[in-house]
Amino acid sequence: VIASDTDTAWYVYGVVPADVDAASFAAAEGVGAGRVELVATGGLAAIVGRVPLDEFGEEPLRRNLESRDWLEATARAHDRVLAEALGRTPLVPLRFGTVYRSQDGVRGMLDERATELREAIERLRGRVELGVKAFLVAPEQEEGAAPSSGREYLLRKQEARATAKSTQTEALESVRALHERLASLADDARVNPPQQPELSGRHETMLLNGAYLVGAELQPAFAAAVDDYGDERLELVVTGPWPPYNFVEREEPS
Amino acid sequence: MSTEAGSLPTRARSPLPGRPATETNLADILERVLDKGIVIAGDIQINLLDIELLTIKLRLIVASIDKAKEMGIDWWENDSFLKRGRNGNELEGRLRRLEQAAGIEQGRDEE
Repeated sequence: VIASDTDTAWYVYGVVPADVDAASFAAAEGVGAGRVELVATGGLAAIVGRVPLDEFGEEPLRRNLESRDWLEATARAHDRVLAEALGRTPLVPLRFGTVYRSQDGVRGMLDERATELREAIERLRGRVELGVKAFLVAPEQEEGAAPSSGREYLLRKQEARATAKSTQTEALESVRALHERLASLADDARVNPPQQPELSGRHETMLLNGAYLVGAELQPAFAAAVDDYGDERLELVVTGPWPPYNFVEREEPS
Repeated sequence: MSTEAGSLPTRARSPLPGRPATETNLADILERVLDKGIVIAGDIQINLLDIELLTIKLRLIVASIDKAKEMGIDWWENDSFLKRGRNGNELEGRLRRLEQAAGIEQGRDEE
């Protein structure tokens, strides 16, 4: 069923050089399970997908964003399309939720932002984003004899708190050294606020939530640097490769 | 440098050999696609900050910054080497403005 132009709009995932092989993302299932295509002008191409306005129009979108399920499915689709293109072409990821009423609107955007987009494409060419998270691993609790008094119980509790605090202080120093080591292997680095357990699904304290822009060929070396970082207090998790979300210039909406 | 088709590891494969690939964590995706990426105003005007769910998400991030400060893990904020991009103060300012606009009381200081 071909939807009419007045009922649909174009969701934009990201921008790539126009000479990229479009077949490379043909397999990607976009938002709303839609197909993905390219809209090109002036040497640049936007990765777009047709979306229904009754889902992505202003009001429906506002409602849909309140739905965790919809948001999760759509955010995953946004990332999935870009992840499919990653490694096959340099790419500038757009933030979630950029929608144009027509392909002409998309071309207008490409023309208007051409200088900035070309610069970003060159800067990101051949590079990927890797994420590194460090969790503080709780030390094994020693099972001692039961406290003989309330006072002893309190003393032990106090001791345990002091130990935990110094463990964390030391672990932080270690995380900082890890970050500096990883940043030295990367072209650029960002440290983001730690994720809350409600979002991350992990109850351990997150001490590092870093993003690193890494030459694609350096991924094994980067992964090895993480693997070789022997600190039993830390559990390190590498994520990616990601489209370089953390390394495109932000333009704050005024 | 050239990148040949398929020459890079795909998401499905963990970049660390020997570590199992797991489904990509939603928090990792949300913090990237909702908060990062180049911002371009399309034809459909949505303000992600107006969204209640996003407000909750931002609140979680800010709460985690407060908690991080409390625990001493806000080291990047005092480090000019790392002080690129966005930091907590900016985010916090945005949330405060949003909360003022929405008439929401600040409850975090009571903890």
